[in-house]
Amino acid sequence: MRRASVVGPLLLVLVGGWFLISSLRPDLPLLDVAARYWPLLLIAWGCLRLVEILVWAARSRPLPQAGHSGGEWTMIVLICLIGSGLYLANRYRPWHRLGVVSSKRVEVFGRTYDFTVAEQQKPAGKAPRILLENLRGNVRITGADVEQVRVSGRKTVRALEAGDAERADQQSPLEVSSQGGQIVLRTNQDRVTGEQRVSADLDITVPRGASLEARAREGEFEISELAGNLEISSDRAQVRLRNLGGNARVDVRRSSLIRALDVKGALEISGGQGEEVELENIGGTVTLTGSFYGPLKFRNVAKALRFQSDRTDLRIEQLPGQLHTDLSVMTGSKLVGPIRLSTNSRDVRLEEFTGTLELELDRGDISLRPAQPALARIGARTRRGRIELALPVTAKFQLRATTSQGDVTNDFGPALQADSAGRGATLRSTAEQGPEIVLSTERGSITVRKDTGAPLESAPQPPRRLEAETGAGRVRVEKY
Amino acid sequence: MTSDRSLLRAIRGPVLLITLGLLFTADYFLNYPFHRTWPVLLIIFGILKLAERLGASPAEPSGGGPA
Repeated sequence: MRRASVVGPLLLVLVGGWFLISSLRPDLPLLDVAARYWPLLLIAWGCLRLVEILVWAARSRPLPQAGHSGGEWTMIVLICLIGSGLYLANRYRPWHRLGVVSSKRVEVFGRTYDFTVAEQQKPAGKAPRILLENLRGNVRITGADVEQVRVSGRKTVRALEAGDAERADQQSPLEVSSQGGQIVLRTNQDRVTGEQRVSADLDITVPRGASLEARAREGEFEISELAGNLEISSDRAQVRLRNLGGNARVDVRRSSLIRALDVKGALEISGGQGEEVELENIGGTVTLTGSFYGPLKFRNVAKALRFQSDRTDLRIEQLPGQLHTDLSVMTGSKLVGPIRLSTNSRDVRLEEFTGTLELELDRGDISLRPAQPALARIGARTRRGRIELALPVTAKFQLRATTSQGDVTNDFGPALQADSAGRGATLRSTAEQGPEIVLSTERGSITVRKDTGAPLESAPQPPRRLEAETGAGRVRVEKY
Repeated sequence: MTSDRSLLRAIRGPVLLITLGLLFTADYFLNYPFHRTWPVLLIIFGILKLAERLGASPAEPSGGGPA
């Protein structure tokens, strides 16, 4: 006869009790306790089982074949894995480093309490300097024909109990003060003790001539109708700017969206990682640094545009048209050079550009159509990809196109001469006059043709969907 | 003798389990990291196995399989 152990049921009682306590008293740090003391569970289990077996042996009862069954060992391994995971997570607190969750207990078990921020006003004159410190929360700042700063809003506190929330509210009053010639707005969220999470959504009206500096950790910014300079720094934010008269500097370590419309001055955006960027009607230079994954759209930039990431380096002298890029395709039209672009893997398609172009890709197709009247020097190089160039019919140029593996197509006529060499081919101008055009690819075809106004052959297609499902077996897509 | 052997075999699991728990405790509270102390498990296992073999009478085939 095989006697069942008491340990299994006991374990069940223990686990049930733990979950019960953790749901009844969420404020107790049970998870921390479990993370530190779970090995004691193994010891207790082993001791119980040992005592049990010794008692059975002393009473000369039949002993089990093994101390623990296979199922029990599986459970032990699981406990070890989960316990070690908890311990490591608790010790190194990866969520702290990621800045995702400030306090997991409040996040998981807490409730959200709302408070209103009473309206405050401060006389400020016509063109004050304003400093805003709101660590967490969304801020809307609007310039208006007033001579005072007016703030109102709402505060959200995430806490375990209403008392904690009220204390956090009192500890973080909104202060509007005048210090050394500047207006300082401070939400004092750093003064909150305990694990309550406070965020303040503020609606601020300022004199139109104001210049602003905002520091934050997390939240959205919506700023419009300001004549002065603007400076925003935040760890994690969305920024929307509209109708600014001065220069703007935006420094956001992680941004999901940066949008600027009608900025008269220079715009400098720097960040660690970002997604979408949309800039339109910028009067000054635009500088964009950081890694951006989402689509980037630039339209009508009156001065130089510079975009630099670890994969891409782009400079354009002026952008009366538009430029759109995502991780796979860059399209642009009406660009004014000198244009320099180097990027690692992306199809590039530029139309109606003037001035010199220097383009270097690691992998990707290139299609170019310079603006009709004037032609300037063009250099385009890709390691792997096709090159297509459409030139004005009357244009004069010296072309030298080389592919190491692939063929060349000359649709331009007798002005060009094609030769094949090994697996590659070259295409050269027969006469030597006009600006230099150098095209080269290590693998891919080169096409030079007359610009008839027709769309480029290799114009990127709108994304097509490919859906494949198979119960068993393989799916092979030859060409997509 | 047979009862000694089956007792030793039966307590092998619990003893290993207790050792495992102790090693983790030593890791968390005493600064003896588990990745250094794990061979203790092998040693304990070996000792228990050895005791089992030594406890068996020479006539009996070891392992308790069918003769």
